[in-house]
Parts: sequence; structure tokens; C-alpha cells
Amino acid sequence: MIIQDVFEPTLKEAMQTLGKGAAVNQNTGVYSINDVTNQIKQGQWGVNYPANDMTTARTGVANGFVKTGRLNLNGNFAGYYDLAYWNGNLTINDDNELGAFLDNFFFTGNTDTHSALVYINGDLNIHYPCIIKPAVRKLFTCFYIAGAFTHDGLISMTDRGANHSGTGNSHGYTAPIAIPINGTVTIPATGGAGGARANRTTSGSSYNGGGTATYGTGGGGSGHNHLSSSGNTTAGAGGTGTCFSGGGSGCGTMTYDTSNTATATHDAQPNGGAGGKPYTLGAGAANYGSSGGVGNPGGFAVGAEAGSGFGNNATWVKQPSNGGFMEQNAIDPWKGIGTERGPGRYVDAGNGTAGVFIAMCEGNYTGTYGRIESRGHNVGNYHEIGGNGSGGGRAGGGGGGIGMVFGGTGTRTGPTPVVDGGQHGNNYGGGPGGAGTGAIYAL
Amino acid sequence: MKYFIHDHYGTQQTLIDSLPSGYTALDYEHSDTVGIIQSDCGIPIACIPGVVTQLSMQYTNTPTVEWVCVSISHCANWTDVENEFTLIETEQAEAWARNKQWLEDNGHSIPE
Repeated sequence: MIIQDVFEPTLKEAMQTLGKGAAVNQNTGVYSINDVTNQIKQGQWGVNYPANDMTTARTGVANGFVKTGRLNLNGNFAGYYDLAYWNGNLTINDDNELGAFLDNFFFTGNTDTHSALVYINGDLNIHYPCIIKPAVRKLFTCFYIAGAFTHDGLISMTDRGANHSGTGNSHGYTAPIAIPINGTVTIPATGGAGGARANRTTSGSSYNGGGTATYGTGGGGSGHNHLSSSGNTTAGAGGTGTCFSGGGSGCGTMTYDTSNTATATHDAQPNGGAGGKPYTLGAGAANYGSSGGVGNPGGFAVGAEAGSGFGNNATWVKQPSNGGFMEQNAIDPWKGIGTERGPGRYVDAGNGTAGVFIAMCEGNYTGTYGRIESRGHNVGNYHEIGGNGSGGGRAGGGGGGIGMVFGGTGTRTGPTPVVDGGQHGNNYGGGPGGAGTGAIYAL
Repeated sequence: MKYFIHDHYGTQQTLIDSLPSGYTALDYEHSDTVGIIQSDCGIPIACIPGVVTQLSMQYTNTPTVEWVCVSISHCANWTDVENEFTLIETEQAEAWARNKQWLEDNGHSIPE
């Protein structure tokens, strides 16, 4: 693995520096005799491109990662990167390359602190139904294709936004910065605003949606605040989107005649952090339970009444977020049929924020069946755990992410990225997440 | 009034061509779109394609009319879109019915 720090004005120039540099002799410069000796021993002296590029990776010899280091854009630290390199045209159409196998092609296990950069020194053709999605959260994913990009598969950064807060389950802090892409488009450090806390002192319902930002991610929604009779209650606020993650969402609250007071723990944590935690015993969850927001990780839930099935179902015991403790939706295995709006996200529950995906191709961008998406999490539509039984007022939806494609020619007819925020829902659902940025531009 | 928020690339051209009366089609990437929705409806845009419309949401005995941004990415025609609105309203009404039943079962008054 070659370590190379990159300092460039834009991400486009950084990709060109890294990618084009990967195919030429790496040994230009001034070295000590020890450096030369060590590189000869490692087989890295005098090579035209690294021996462990993805051309050999595909034959099972090695993985595709050729460089890592610090990425500095326009004078700002943009985190660490891992670069995968493919020399020549790449067509992904093998049944054996669905899903996880491609994870090993393109993505390392470095979580939250690294971006995933992929340089294709040729054309890239992704056939239906191949899927490219990192197995872990990334600051962002960027493909640079030196040729044409034909996309008929699925590329997803849904639930792969980074928790770059340096808190909780984050693997490290990275400050949000403006990310200049190509000199024209710049992803702002701060995305859409999170939905504000929703307060009520009279009977009824309130919630606030997350905002949007030009070229940015979406903010998360507040939780749903339903007050049946009287009191003073507040649902948690959504989180503001960043350049590395859509915003998480705040917790919901549902009470009859008791009051509660929101604190920071009930709000989504900043910089892709945890979802807002629910109210626990008594005031907040006495009658109805309370639902935590989406985030990294998603906030847990508190059920008001004893349930049944696997796990600790005692009244008011903290539950994994929205059923996340189940590997299978045992409550309703047929979810998604009839009036249920599925499929549910029981396995992933409220975990995950929308991430950032950028593709740049010097040739045409085409494709008929493909899809690029980075969507905010829905949490509001679950009949069987919502309402008055256990979930209470639902949490908000997560903010949408970013899907940008930059084409080098006038032919830019490939699929438009989908970057919805999580939906409001219909079961005392929280505020929707704001849409992110899904667009196609000139390179 | 309902607003149809579509993308910039003609992906929803069939829906645009058959736009029902009472709808205004807005390109999400037009610089005025976000401001129009914010000023006319008071909510952010949550999804593209989507429809920003007023739905009757029953959180208590008396339904509340509120602006909602509804995802219609799975809708092939305007009948599907209208069915989506109905589904959302119906499911919230069902949620209210369960809540109301719980209130009655526990001797609480029913909020109007």
C-alpha cells in the first residue's frame, strides 16, 4: 500500500492526481539508498503501476487498494482516503459479483474516517442487477471513470453516511468542510437544517420537517409530538445535514396528561451522530412509549406496555430501535402486503444516515435501468408497533444524502440519483427529512 | 393547489404531460422552487418526485388539514398518486382509531 497525501483545489483534481499517478512510475523523486533498498524488497521499485491493482485483484491475487493517505481540498482537511484502482475497462455483470463481493473490490473496512475513492482507467459498465454499496459508513464515495459510464445496476449510500462526530460509535472526528467538486459545484459543509423541537401545551399533534440546502444533504425531521389531553411536551429536534451525512432525527413523544422536558439527548446528535433518545419511564413514556430517532446508531425505543416474543418485553424497558433486535420481522413476516407500507426496516431499524456519492466520468453517462440512491431513513409507518401500544409518537425521518454524477460529454442521460428524506409517515409520524441533492452536471 | 416536484431530467415526463388541473409542476432544480414551496406551504421539500399537497390527518377526533410532501416515486400515473394520498389519510385515521379505543378503554376523555 502506497501512502500519498493529496493537496488539490478540488475533488476532481485530486482524483486525477491519484488515478493518473497510479498508472505511472511511482519512483520519481529523490530517495536515500535505504528507501530504494526497501522499495526493491517490497516490489515497488520501477513498476509502472502497482502490482496489487484491481486487475490482479479480480483473479484473487490481491485486493484493489493501492493508495491511502490524507485528502486536503482547497486547504481543508477532508479526512483520510482509500483508493482502489482498475486499469482498463471494467464490466460488472457476473452473478458472482453481486453484493458483498464488490464490497471487497472497492471498499475497505475503514469506517467514518475515510472516504472511498475508486479510479477506473477506462470505461465502467455496471449491469443490472449488480450492487455497489460499502459495507461500512464512509465520509463519501467517489468514482472517477476515465472513459464512459454506463450504469444499469444499483449504487447506494443509503445508511452509509459517516458518524464523523467523534462520539458514541463514531470511529473518529472529521470536521465538516466545504467540498469543492469541480470548480463549479461545491458541497457545503452544512446541509439542510434539522427540524426544530416540536412543543405542545394543548391537545393535538406537531412536528417539524428537516430543511434542504443547495448542493447539500438534507436535515433530519423532529419527532412527532402528540398530546392527548393536557401538559407541556416536546419532541426532539432533527440534526442538521453535513457534507458527510444527512441529518439524523429527533425522538417522538406521545402522552395523555403528563409533561416532559426535552434535553440534548432527545435531539439527533450532530455530524451524523446518534438518533435522539426516547423518553424513558414515567412522564414521557408513561402511556404510550416513545420512539428514538434515526442516526448512528438509531435511538432505541421504549414500550409502554408489555409485549411478547423474543427479548425483554417488560413494560418501559428499553428496546432496540424500532424492532432492530430481530433478524427477521417475526411480528409480521408478511409486512409489505396489503395496507402495510413496506417493506419494513426491522433488521436495520433506525440505524444509519444517508451518505454522499459522487461519480465523475470523462465520457458519456448513460444507462436505462440503473439507480443511484442515498435516502434518509423512514421510521414512521409501523402499525404493529406504533400507536398507543408501544411506539408512541414516532421519530422523524432522516435527511436525504447526495448523489451527483458529472459527465464529460453532452450525453448525460443516465439515471438521476434519488435522495429523498425519510417520509413523514402515517402513524403519528415525525417530521420528514429534507431532500438531499440528486443531480447530473457537466464535468 | 397541489405542487408536483419533479426532477430536471425528464424522468417524470409522462406525469408532467398528463398533469391534472389544480396541480403546478415545479422543477426541483429551478432556483425558485424551494422558496415557492416554503412560502406557499410552509414546509421543506422532502422528496423528488413528490407532491406537496394538503391532506386531512386525523390525530384527534377532529381531522387536521396540513401540508405534506408525499413521495410518488413508485406511482406510474395520477390515479396511483391519488391512491397514495388516500392511503396516508386512511392509515393515520386507523392509528387514531386505535388511540381512541385505548383512551376509552382506560377511562380517558377523547380529545377533540
